[in-house]
Amino acid sequence: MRGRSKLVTIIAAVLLGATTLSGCGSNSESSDKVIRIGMPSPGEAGQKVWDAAIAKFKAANPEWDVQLIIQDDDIYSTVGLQGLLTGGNPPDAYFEWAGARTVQREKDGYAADLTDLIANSSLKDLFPESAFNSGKSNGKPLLLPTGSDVTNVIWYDKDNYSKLGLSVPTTWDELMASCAKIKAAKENCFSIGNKDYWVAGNFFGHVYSRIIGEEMYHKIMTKEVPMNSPELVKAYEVVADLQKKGYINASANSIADNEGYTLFFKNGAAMLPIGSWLVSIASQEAPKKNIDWFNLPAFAGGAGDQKSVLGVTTGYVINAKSKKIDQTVKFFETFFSDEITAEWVKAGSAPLTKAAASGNLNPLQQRLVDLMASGATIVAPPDTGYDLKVADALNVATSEVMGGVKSPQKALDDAQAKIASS
Amino acid sequence: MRLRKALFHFFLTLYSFFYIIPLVWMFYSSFKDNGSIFDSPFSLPQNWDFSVFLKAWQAGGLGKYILNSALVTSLATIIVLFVASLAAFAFSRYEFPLKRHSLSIFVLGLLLPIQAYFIAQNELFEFFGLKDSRFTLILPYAGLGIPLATWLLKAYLDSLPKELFEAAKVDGSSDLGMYKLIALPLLKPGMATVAVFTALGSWNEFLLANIYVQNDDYKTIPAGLLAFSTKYVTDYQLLFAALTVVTVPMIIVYIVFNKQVVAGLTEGSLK
Amino acid sequence: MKPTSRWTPFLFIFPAFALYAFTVLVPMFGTVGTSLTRWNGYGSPEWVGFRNYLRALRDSIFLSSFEHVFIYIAATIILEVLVGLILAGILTSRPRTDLYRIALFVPVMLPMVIVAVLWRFIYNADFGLLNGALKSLGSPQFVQIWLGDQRFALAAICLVSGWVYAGFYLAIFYAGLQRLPKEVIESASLDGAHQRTIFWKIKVPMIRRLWEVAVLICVTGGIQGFDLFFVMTNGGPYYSTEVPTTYMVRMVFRDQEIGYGSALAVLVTASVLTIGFIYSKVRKKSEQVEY
Repeated sequence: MRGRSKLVTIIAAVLLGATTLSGCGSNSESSDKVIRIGMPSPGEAGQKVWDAAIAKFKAANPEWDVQLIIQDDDIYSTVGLQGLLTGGNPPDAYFEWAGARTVQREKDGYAADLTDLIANSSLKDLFPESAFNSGKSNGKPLLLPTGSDVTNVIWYDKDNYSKLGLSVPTTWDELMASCAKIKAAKENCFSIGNKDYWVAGNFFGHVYSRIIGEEMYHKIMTKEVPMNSPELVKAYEVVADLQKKGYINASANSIADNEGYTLFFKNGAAMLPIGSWLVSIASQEAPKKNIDWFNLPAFAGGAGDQKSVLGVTTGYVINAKSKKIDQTVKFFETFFSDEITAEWVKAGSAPLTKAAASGNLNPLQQRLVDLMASGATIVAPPDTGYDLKVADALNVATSEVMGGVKSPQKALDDAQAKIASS
Repeated sequence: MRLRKALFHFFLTLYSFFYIIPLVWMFYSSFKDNGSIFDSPFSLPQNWDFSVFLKAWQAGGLGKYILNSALVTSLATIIVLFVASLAAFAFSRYEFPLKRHSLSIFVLGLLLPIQAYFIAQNELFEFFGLKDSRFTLILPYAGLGIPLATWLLKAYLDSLPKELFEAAKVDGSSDLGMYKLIALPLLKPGMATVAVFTALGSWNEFLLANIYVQNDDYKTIPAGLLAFSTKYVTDYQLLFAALTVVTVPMIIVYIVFNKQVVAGLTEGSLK
Repeated sequence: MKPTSRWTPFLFIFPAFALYAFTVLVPMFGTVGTSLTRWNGYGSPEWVGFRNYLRALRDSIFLSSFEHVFIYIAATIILEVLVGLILAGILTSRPRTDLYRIALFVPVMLPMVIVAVLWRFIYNADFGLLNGALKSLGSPQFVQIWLGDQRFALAAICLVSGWVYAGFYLAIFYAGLQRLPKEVIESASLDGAHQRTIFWKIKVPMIRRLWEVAVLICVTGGIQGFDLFFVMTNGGPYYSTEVPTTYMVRMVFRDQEIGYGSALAVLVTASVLTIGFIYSKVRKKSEQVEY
């Protein structure tokens, strides 16, 4: 007995020691020659390109290393990044979405002003002038862009459409007429997986901005104007109308986004409002389905740009508090070089560097890229372009009206009360 | 009488079978392709192709999740057994100032939901750089297990006759000696209970596992499975295969060690 | 008993206490501190005094989350503890029922993630097993959007919880019943008492200590319940399955309101402590009455 408990004591002590040591070990790296970059999951193909970029950088700068800190998407955009920036070993650069988030980083002191850094490096030649616009705050570029994603378009099955004798609608009223035909054929019109509030949130956010105009949308999302303004209440009638006519799958608020995709792939609905990432998912999960997309049709009498696109630019912000800014910029010069850009195109991405323009993209994706570059107004989605609380209130109100449990007025009154009380 | 016996077993068999049907269904759905999982969910698979489990194992990197869970769970359990038994012994056998209050503080932990303090704990661990390693979760899991372990072991010790310890005292045994030579052996059933509770809790813990460890190489099973289900968004066949791969060994371990697990659960708590 | 050295008790308790203090107590104090501030996790916290608490007491979602968790606890006491007790009674009435006990215990060991993902699929309104079974059994009128309907979602979750844990309480009560002294039971059945009467009037009272503990475990487990709610519905639909734990996590995670979330945490802790306090007082009283 004596021997055994002594052994247990020793083991426990060693383990505790090892635990603390392994934990402390990571702290000593902050003064080393390691560039740390935080991001959500880049996917398998993306990971390979990152590895190539890092290898190229290390070859040219043998003393330096690059460490990627990868987190789950949901966690990254909420507590994950926050934990990284305020923790013991903050990253030197990190992934962000252009818009309110990036502006907030600057306010909190975590976003470096890139004006001089771009001007004094090869970055100014690798990008077209306009590329940095979406990530600017007060004229100062904060974001090195890696992609402009269309956040919501309406996907449909071409074969199904021709079977039902439908053509791509150019106005919302035409879309409603199509829906009536679809419903008569006993199909669901839309498949929406809104358990986490953002799928319908994005789709209808775009609808609202078309009806009340981008400026008013922006003012509401930045709390300049109350959320229960009569213009928005009126816009919500569109959602209530869809619910009454039964054009949205009854399960919308209880199924997750991926279950929404599944419903569409299994021919459970005629249309799926979702973003550009469906291309790669569909190519794997439903390669035989003949899908295509159209942008949100025009609203008669709508105050906004009826050709507007719901999208957001993403990229990397350099941490203003980093002690290795120059080296980090050097890494990004490698990252955005022509050679690596070609790798990104091969992996199915659509980079924004000059070199990417001549790449080969999947036709569905090429059209999406063209859409983003078409010159139409880019509307920011609620949860990536604006304060999360406001976005949340808007999206919850949308889900309530979509589910038929609250009237537009009541839903927006409650939403306004929520954001006013914080 | 025979009829009653037959009926008894018949209904119980039916009940048990339907009870575990979701798991049986999950298992055989792994052999069907996504199309037939949705179109004819109840039908049995055409081919019993076991390679799908290998695919799930590789695609999901399930091996490392299982390894991490095993590591974290066993170490947390060992730590809890060790420190809680010491504390329980002191609480049970000794009188000392502030005993009541310190015991109440421990029991407090039984009622506190972890959501009540995990944010501050998160900040604390960030500050000490303890996060995102293979060993990160050991400390919080051990901390989580201590209140119940201490309470159970103390209750167990309380029920033992005083004379055993009095006699040792008279013999001139030291405190540590009494703990090692008398308390520990007698505590075996109680320790088994504590081990089962702590292990189950750590193995299945979800919230901290997701927040504290981001590096895929160090994730435990709950976090790994969640990451897996979000990566393979619509591939239910692969998802079910992965779930089966994780579940089946657990069930086999349980069936083999059934007596010990149940004994462990009940022996210590029957006081 | 007196220790050999005055310091022994403290030394013995120290390791457990240190670990517990570091992982639980210190964060708990930290939470109380943060609850008096307004903080989004990035900049520096801003002192707001008790404003968060006042807001919490007027927060209808927070208040209804308590209602939901109480319903959940009541449901699980019936579906888990009571069902477990009845099953134990049934399985102890005849020999060689081990196989059933093993089968019914299997769900207990599964991580909640697996349970939640599996049952989400079963409850799926469009292609799930439950609706599929209802349709093929010729009862399509019972088809519902289980997890999307405010009327059913909470009940659906309670059922899953019952499925998981009934076997756990079955195992506990089974062992407890097995150990009861045979003499009392034999004499009762010789007196002509029916098996069921023996069970409820004699056996159950004899394992009173055991089911008191069981109920306590069920209640504390219920208050802390998170995983199932988070993965299955995350508080939806329309907050009908929101419980205090999911709401707290959402406040901190999504809304980045760490101050407010901390205040909620303190309030939840306070109510849990109150329940525990009342429970111990009631037990003390009932123990006195016994004698």
